[in-house]
Amino acid sequence: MHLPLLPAASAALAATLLLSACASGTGGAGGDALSLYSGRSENLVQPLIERFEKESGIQVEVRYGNTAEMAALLLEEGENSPADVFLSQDAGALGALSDAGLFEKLPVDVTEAIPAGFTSTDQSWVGITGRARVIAYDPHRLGESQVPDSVDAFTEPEWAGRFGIAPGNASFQAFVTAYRVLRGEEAADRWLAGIAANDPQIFDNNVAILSAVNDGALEAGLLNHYYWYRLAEETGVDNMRAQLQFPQPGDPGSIVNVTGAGKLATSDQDDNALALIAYLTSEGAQQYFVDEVHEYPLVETVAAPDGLPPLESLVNPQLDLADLASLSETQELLAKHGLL
Amino acid sequence: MTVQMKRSGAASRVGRPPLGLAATGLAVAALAVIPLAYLIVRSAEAGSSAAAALLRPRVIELLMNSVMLAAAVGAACLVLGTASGWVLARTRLPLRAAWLVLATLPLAVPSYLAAYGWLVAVPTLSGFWPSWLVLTMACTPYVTLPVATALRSSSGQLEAVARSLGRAPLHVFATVTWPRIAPSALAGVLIAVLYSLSDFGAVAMLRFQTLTWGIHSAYSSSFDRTLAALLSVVLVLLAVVVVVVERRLRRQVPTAPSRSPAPTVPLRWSLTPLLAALVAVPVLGVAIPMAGLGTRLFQAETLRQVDVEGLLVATGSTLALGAAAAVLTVLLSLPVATLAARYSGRLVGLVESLSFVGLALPGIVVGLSLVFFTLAVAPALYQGVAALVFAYAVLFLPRAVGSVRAGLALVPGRLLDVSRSLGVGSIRSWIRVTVPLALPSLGVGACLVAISTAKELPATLLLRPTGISTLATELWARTEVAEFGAAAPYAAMLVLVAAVPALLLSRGATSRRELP
Amino acid sequence: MTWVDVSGATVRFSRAPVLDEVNLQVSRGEVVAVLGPSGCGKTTLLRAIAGHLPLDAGRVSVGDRVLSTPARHIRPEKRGVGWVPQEASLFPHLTVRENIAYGLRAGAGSSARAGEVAHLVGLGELLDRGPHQLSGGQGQRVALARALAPRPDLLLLDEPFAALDRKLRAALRVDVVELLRNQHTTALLVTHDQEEALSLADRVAVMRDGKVLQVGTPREVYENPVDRWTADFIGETVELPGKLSGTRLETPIGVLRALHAVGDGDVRVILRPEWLRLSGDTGVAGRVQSVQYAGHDALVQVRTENGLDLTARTAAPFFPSPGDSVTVSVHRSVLAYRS
Repeated sequence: MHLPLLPAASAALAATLLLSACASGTGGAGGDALSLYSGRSENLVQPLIERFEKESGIQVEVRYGNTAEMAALLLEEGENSPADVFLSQDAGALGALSDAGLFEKLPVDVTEAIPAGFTSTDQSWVGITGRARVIAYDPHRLGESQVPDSVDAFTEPEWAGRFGIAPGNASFQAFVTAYRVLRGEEAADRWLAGIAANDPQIFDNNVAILSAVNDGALEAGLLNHYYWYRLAEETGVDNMRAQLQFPQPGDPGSIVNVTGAGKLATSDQDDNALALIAYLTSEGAQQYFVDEVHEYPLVETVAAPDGLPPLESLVNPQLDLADLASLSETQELLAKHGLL
Repeated sequence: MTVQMKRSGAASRVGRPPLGLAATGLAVAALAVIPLAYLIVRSAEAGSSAAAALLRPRVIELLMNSVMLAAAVGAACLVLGTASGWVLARTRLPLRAAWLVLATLPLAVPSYLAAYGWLVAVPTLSGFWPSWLVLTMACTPYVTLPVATALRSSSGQLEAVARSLGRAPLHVFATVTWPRIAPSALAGVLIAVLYSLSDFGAVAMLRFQTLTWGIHSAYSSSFDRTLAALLSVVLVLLAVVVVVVERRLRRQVPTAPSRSPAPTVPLRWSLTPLLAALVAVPVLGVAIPMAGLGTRLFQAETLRQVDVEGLLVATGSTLALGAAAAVLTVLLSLPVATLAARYSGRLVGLVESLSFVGLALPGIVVGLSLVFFTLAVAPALYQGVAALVFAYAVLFLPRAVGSVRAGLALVPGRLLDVSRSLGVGSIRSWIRVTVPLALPSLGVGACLVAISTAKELPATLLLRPTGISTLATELWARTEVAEFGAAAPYAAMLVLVAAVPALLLSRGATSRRELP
Repeated sequence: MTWVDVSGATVRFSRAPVLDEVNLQVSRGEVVAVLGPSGCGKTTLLRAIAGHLPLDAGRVSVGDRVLSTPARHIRPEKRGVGWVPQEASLFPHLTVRENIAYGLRAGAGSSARAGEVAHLVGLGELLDRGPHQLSGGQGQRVALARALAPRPDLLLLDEPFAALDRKLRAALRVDVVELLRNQHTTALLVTHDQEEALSLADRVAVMRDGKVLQVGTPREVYENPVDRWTADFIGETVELPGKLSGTRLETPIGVLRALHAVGDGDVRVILRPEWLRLSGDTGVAGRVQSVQYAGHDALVQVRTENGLDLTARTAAPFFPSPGDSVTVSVHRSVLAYRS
């Protein structure tokens, strides 16, 4: 039987087998390695994980994806999840998993390293780093005096159509929640109405906003500070057209978003999982985040990156960043104004 | 004037398909329905609040945006693809083989890369028209290639007769040529429309808010799988409408195979608009976005950090996954395509339509549904290569079914009858006669799947075995943190890898086997 | 002895029967032509015998094997029934040799057998060609060789010469029948060409509207058709009114003898043009109106004194010319049918 499909099929089968071999080869024998689902990028996380492996002797298998997709994946996996630890880019995802009962409470000695306001209120997860909300602007088109130091400025008619937001993004929603907590529901409602009426440019994410400002396509946008430093590292600080303005302390726009980690209830490696989480809040790891990622350390003994306002000025103790009930009220508000 | 053509009776069968074939076809179609079943499970959780969630003005707005975009992309692909296909098949074009490759090349550029490249070139782009442009260029080859193939394999005799009856060229095209290429063109438009409905990469970059935007936003900001499922169901319903309309249109058109080669016309000034279409697609779909990516590459500081080994490993796994997915998908598509090519009836229509619906779903939905399915059915295979390849097969089955069906339909049924009368059983006859004759089309199907697999991102991220990276995931890992320079080699390699099957595709469109 | 037995075979598409209780028996080694106009069901009959269509009623058997009943349907590949379809049907991806060897069990013998059969059909030189390099006649020879190679119990030929030009067709069909006879092959040949059926077959089955009207030797069906339609379909006819008593037949061209007594009274009289003689001593006088020259013979239009238009066939080389006076007579028994 001279069947040309046959060699093709066997070639494909061989390729598949080879791949399977690669998969188990790089990852170690699945069962005994610690499984980390990372909603943060491989380039940022992997060097730190390698340090942890070297120091602790614990093997870690990392699955990289974006935070939302990894959270959806964990929710879908439920009780069958092979994951031990989840590292998230924002508190909302951690809150969602916590609400779904997927996390197991962390011991106090792990959580107490992080000050209240930057971590969970119920010890279901722990904050790791912080990112300040900032206004990115294009200095070619805006003089320094024209750049607002308050988010309230963007409801003024002069800003109509000139600024960008990412209302579907967790960091923007956390900021709106902060606005509600700080100024009250009515003020938040008024502010969003003003923003919506001012015809903002809608983006999918922070990187897109920053690129638009940096390319001269947008005058100003609301985002997290950290993206500017990533892009500066990419293109060189001197080549950065976009510049950052930190809202004045006390402004509702002046808050911090946290990244964090939690331990899955389905984990069968409690000790190793806790060791990894504890490592992420250790001084060494915190310093790594400061040096390499330009994020705020949440451990008080590590200094913030140069040029950033002190973390204390951004803290908002009334705000539980992972409170999903509050988050859904924020989303209803955004939906009401046609922004979501 | 209508030209009546005898339906190629030899290829179509009277009566019901054999039980075994129907059962296999249904089983494969059932695979394609996995995402639907998942969506129903998740949507059911919404209960009575579903209607309220769906009837929000915001959802209506997203829906309208999706419909407008898909319709506009479909229409533009139809015009550009038909024009390009006609020029490629019926004119004395110098360097025709090279033009075919160029016309195919946009397939190799993922829509998110094309959108990004355009944004680099023109940072202010946003909204409907840029999204329309990028998706149109990305999808036009789905129409160009089948139209070129259909035109080359139909003789120019009827056109000549119609001209001698005093009809103008455009009239002849509309009444004689079009009816014969319509099934191929419409099948391509169907893919383009469903692709536009499901695309998230381009609309996210270019900030046009469609239903897929809404679905992603439901996952990423509210972690609301139920809302995402409900929005996905809306997409599925849209896809059903599109598939049904396409089937209606396709059925009205009889086909007539022919043996004599089509005559070609010399290039002349009056053909300029058609030539412009042929030139525009690769320029707007490949050259400009690639130039944009190229400039980013030279500005980038991270360029120095190219990890050659990582690049090669990712290339290897992309190729291996693409090949495995292509073979599995084509094998799975065979029973469905056989049913669709040789039999008619409700069941056959249902099986074929079902296999297409998944094409309208964004990758993340299909990915999550397969997470759900694998964990429920074969947890041991979860996060294994087999499950990932299977996911690709579910995702890209429709693409293979379309071309495989066309290929099988060209094999005359009487050859199978002859084979069986010579003492060769039905399955072996099929293997010895049908498969070799339909092989070029099977190859086309395999190439389409391989290209799509290489570009696929969301389902790969969810289902890949831990530690396996493809070019698309590596590219994503770098663009996500704005390391565009480090991403560039992966982008370039991805386009190169996807260009290999694209090249094969363009060759498949030129060669044609003589069938009796 | 009956070798192929088709009895009561019925096939329906939707409602209307396409084959309506067809009966046909073929002896071993016999070549039977199935003759009928297009749409009469002859190809359906062939497909049913080959097993490509199931029977709704009736039975098909070859030798002592029952191949088809409504309850039992042997698959086409298990029947040992060869098939040569009308259109070119060579596998385009295989060479001539591979085409011929297709139905043979793979092995050392198959290539030799393919070569042997190819020689038989006169294509020994073309074994390694592809089908697209063959002429239409060569293609059909290969199709025939392919069907013969596995030594089928029965060979079905579905208008195998229809697509060929006239001269090639005439040559090929003589070759083919000679070959079938030499190989003692039992064959059913479907055709709508009367000349083909009459000249090639041992017996002819005439079909119309899904029914077999008559089965007989070519001579029987031509000279003694069962009804007027068959008579007309099989060949040219001259029709006259007549009055029958016993076998005595009164017609406008004189008193003739009927082949059968079909009951006294008014009848339609049918005779063949060649049964008319134009140069007799007795008969009806007439004048030649026109002559349709066909080389070996000619059809002569005659108007008789009593105003009848008749067609007579005269053999070469003595053809009359238009305007000549002739005397029309009939020199054999003629056909009479109740009107």
